[in-house]
Amino acid sequence: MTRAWRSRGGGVRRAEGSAARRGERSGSGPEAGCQRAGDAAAWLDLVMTLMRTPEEERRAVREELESHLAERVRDLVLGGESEGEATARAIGELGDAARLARRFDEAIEPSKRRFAMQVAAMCLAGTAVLFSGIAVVSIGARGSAGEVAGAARGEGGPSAVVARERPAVEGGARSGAAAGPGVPSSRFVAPEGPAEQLLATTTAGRAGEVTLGELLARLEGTPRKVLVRWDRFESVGVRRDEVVRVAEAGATVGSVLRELALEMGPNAPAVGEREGVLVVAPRSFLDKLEQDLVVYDLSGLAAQHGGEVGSSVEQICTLVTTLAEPEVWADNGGDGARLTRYEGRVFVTAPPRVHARVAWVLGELSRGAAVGPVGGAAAGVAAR
Amino acid sequence: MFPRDAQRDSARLVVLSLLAEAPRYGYLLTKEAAARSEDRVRLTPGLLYPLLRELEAEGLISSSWEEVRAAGSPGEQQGRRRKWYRLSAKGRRNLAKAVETHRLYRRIIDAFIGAGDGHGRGREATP
Repeated sequence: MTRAWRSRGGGVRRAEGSAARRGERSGSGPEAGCQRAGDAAAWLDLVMTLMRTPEEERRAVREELESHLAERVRDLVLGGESEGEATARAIGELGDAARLARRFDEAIEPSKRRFAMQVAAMCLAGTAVLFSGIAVVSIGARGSAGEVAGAARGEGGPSAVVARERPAVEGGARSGAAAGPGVPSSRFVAPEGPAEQLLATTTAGRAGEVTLGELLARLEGTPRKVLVRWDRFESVGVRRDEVVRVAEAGATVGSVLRELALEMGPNAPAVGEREGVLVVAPRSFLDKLEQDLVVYDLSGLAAQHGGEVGSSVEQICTLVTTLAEPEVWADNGGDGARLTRYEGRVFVTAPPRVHARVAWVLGELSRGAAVGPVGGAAAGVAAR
Repeated sequence: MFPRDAQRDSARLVVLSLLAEAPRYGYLLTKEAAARSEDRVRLTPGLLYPLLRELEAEGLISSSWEEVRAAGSPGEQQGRRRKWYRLSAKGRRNLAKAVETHRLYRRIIDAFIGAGDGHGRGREATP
């Protein structure tokens, strides 16, 4: 991805240079003016394509740059330049499209992360307050601390309704308690299927350096039917003789691959299950192979959080794309998951592992909202 | 000419100072900065617009859109919108601190290089 970015950036600079040169040579007359206006639109299209921020942000940036270009061109024309020359110069002053897109990303992304962290902190604090509220209100109503604890675990009362309405993701996530003293909390535990079991039980051999081919051959040596898709690895530039480090003797293949994922990102080897066969391939390939479309109805949940439903849905979406495998979302520049908002509903196309996390995040949010003392009906988190 | 960070810090101060006087939009900021510095300070679009985003995200400035009426001159289109920026209370406090820091820095440096003359020390050692 980094290489593609750089290469695209280089191409952009060359294109700009030639546009500016063309402007100097033949930048007069109405035809040249149209040509330059087309150049401006194409240049803006390019910046928008290179930006990795959400669509709404990109639209605002484009509108502002268009406005800047229009004013700059007007001033230059009033100063005696032809419209063609003025447009070419104004575009040239905006600089390298790739660099500009990156600067916008850098300026916008940290704020988005900060915002998401604030939302997460508020939700966490809200959940804690709600849980403490339940203890008081429910004890008063039912007179049994045991019942209250049961409700909080999803064994009865409104929270059980929420649990039933959670997305039916195959091999769904389990929540594990990770509470400190007096602080209700839960922890996402990834669902374990045959692939995870295989990775957790196959050892990587002695400590030191091995090739990727040798490491993955250990999976093929198990009783399970395993297919390593070398064609897919080669298509993303990953070779069998890539050197992989096994940190300690007895480490599992799963732990080695987790470390490798930090270096290789979406090209790192991962294991998925296809018709009873465990397929080892680049993570990005498996993600595209296993796309599920799930619709999540967030209207109830958004209404519970107060304020405008649209803005709450937006906040929830930000929370989801920040917490659930952030690198895969198209909103964050990835290509493994896509999220489309429609009124109170969100259509998510993503692999099951991502859906499992999305469901957990929404489940945690809806649990707090639905069980709260003021919440009547359960918050709607419906799937499929 | 300047290292990028220094350039950005200076641009930050310039933009916040200009917005402390009155609300302005991006292109107006570039023109004002150039005019006041005899064209020495150039807030290029590649520097300015991401910076405005950053300042807005930090809550130092706020923005609003204004519909631009057709003026009949080339490049002016009906329906185009301009984004106006104004300094927030937080931005004003931040600017006051930045100005104070800048003045302190200048005093310290002036003590070594001399204020105003551009040559040698402020207080020349007498033989």
